[in-house]
Amino acid sequence: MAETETEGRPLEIVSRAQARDRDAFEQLVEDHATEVYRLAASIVGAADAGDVTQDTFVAAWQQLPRLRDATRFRAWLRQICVNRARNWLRSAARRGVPVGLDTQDFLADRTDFRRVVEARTVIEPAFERLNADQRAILALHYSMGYSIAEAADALRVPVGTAKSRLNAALNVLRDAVAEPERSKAEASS
Amino acid sequence: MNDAQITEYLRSRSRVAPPPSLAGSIMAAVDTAPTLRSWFASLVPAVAAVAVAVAVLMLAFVIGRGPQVGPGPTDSDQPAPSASIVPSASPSDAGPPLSLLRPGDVAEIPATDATGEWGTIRIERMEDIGGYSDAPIAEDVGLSGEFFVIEFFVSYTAERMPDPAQFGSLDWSLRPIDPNAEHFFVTEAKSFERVGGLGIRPDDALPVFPGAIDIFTTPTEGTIAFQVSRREANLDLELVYARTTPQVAIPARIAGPAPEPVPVATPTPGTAAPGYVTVEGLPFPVLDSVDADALFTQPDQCTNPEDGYTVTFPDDWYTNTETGGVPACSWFTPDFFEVSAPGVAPDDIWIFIGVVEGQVGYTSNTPFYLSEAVTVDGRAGRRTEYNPNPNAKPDYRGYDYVIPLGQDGPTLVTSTNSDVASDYALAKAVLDRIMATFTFGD
Repeated sequence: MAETETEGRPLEIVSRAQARDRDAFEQLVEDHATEVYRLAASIVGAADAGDVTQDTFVAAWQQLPRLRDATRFRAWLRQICVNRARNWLRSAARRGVPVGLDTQDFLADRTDFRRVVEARTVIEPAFERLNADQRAILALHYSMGYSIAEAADALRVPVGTAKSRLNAALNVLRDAVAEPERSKAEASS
Repeated sequence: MNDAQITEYLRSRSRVAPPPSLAGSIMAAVDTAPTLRSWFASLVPAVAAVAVAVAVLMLAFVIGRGPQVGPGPTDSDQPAPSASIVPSASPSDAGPPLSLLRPGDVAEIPATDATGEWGTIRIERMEDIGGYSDAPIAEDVGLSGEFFVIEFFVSYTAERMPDPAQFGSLDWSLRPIDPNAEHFFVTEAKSFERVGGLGIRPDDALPVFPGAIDIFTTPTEGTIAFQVSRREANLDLELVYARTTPQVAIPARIAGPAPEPVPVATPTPGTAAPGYVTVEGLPFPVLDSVDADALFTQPDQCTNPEDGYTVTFPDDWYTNTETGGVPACSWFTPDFFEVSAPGVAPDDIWIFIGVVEGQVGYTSNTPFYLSEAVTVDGRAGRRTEYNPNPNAKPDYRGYDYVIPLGQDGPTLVTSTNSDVASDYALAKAVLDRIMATFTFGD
């Protein structure tokens, strides 16, 4: 019943949480933490998913009184998660590669990327080279299985924009994945 | 590799289970998070006094999200706080909101610990500065021009010993007022230290007081400095005192242009770090080494055709040809080596040169033993010696040159370290000479 529930929870729970009821918010955390965690992992990777999930719920707690339509709680939470995940990636990019930790390994990574043909090993580095928006749309649609409309809502862009972003991101990923295969083919010819 | 494999990979990214403790840790974070409330209403009298243009700007904030690009300074003498939702700027509901928006503004708040107030903290807003000409910001190598610095002078007055006793720079952070800001970040105060004879300002930096001092007679004051990315100059910022729950957050900067970067002085022979000497014909000081000088009497030369650079290196040393995607002229070592797996560096390699995507920085807690600006073939960069993990490997040293090749990358990184080089001192001296003769291709 969309009018009275949000994803199985009575709207009253959201309303109570909006009124700063900690127990109600804890119920919302228990209901939605796994989905938020998986969405975060899809965008930033499992290693950082816990931090992004925590950031998401802290922001949700802080801003919940500003949520005007309680039926949109789940979609709104998804928006916060995507926003936090993108910020996380941008922040990580700004911090750069901690060469003080891994200069040698990092330089070696590039070579591994080019020589390894096993699927995951090739796709993962390619995925990690995508920008935050590209990662987000691929994660929302392919990893989480959201419809284009739901993905567009999470990204706060029109459906048409989401479609074009999805297509562009997929093409970038295809090209990135194809590069080492081309190199390998050239090397063997 | 086909689309099915790609989509299968993407699906696999969400097949993860959260740790059992996730909900608990979330609620613990929620319990310590500040509660946001609007302080717009309390500012109405001040708002009424400002120019119409500012009022229009504020209306934009009230209606929707603030602009991505800051409004810049207004013509009014009155600071124009945007109507973002911010934490209470006052430790109690009594009295006007605290403000550190303008240089010279002073705020006083209670110093607190787990049992309550233990003293008073006086905070004075200093001028924003574009950097330190004699002491480049060390934490973000090669990017000092992309940052500016926000400083506050902080004085603690104690009425009793705090518990725990430690306090000081660790109490402070700076963050955007809007938690949904696109470039949201939290910056910790820098407790700069003098390292390896290189000055890192401010000289009067607020330390972390260990608590084992006579707090009633020892001056407990100093400057806290926050390094802020220029792209975040378009955000309203607040200073956060993290020792109280909820945290005290004081508006500290209105979105607007950052001060102009302060050029970092290129080292001259007179300012060479200890152990470095000026060698005729080389553009910057290099580590003093008779052995390295001898190796470069009749050096060899190689070119990386992919990245376009050319270097000279000791004639007795070895470098690689193209292997497994690694361009020629990327690895250097005094011993003959064989590549057992294409693209994988053997253990014998002492020096690595590579061009990596994006910017390159260091973790903020990296201890630096050397950090100085160098100009390599006309491009500004940094030379550093550091230990990224002093607790685990106290004797480890890494030695890098990091040369940004563009605003957002790529970045040239050349490196050696005490793990790979059996004669680390010689490796450093050779790397200095390689970089001093380095030429970028066009």
